[in-house]
Amino acid sequence: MSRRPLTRDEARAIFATTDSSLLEVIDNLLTKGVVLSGDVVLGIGGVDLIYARLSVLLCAVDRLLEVQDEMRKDSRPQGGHPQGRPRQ
Amino acid sequence: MSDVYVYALLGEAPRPDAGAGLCAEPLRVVRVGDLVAAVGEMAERPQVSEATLRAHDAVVRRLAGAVDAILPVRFGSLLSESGLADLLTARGRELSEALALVAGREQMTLRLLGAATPPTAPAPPPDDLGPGARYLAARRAEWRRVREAPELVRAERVTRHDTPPLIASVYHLIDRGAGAAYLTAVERVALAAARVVATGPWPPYAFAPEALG
Repeated sequence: MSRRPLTRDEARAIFATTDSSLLEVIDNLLTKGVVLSGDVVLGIGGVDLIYARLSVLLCAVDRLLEVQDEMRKDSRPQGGHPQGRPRQ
Repeated sequence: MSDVYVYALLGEAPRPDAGAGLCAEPLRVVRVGDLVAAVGEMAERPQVSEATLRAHDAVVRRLAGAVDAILPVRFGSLLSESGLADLLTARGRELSEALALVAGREQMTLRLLGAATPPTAPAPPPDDLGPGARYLAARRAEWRRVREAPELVRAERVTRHDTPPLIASVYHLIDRGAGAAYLTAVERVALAAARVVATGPWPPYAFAPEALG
């Protein structure tokens, strides 16, 4: 069975435990939603900053996945060798 | 006299009771026509901070769980009760239509990363689009497959970003409870296209009409 779906789950897990959940909340609360008050809380610069920070975080998750995939390949060259087993 | 801080517009009053707001103030509802606004009384606008943002979001989530249709209101909406009534009256039709769209639904958010992987089998792009728009069009064509597979997506909003590798955010409206099936569908597509992060479900923030009346 393919391991790829697992890495997606892990990506989500990593993403959920980083600063990203706050950034998602900021995106939703400050750039979306019904506007009832004329005072804009966040200027264009602030909005760009949110997505710039999300971008950095997503990059980090992406890199982590790459490293993880590499480690998987390295960890089972002959097969049957469980990951994370301490070396004797 | 204190103003009202508005958390959300609802299709109906929340069933048990509305609970407390982000300053621990009791929530109440303001009815204008068919619309119900969930509000708390406040003397001044809350400061933007992680704590107040999360508290506002928590109130919206709680309300979302108590009603079928909810339109979250942007953070920091403090106005007089009569001002609120005027706005809701002026925008009644637009807001009622938006409430009908989100009834029984919730939001999923996709962050699309644009670096490295080229779109598979790009369709011939229209000539009047620039390279960025063409790229995004091709990407969007890929994501349409998410919709074609299990037909989970009821509505879509797309925002393009100039912050590579994040090139776009796609907000999908799905039926409540369909989040797991949606994520599975995204995963299937993501195997080919990679480089997407899905989060949710969220209250339908991205499906609220923005324009002031």
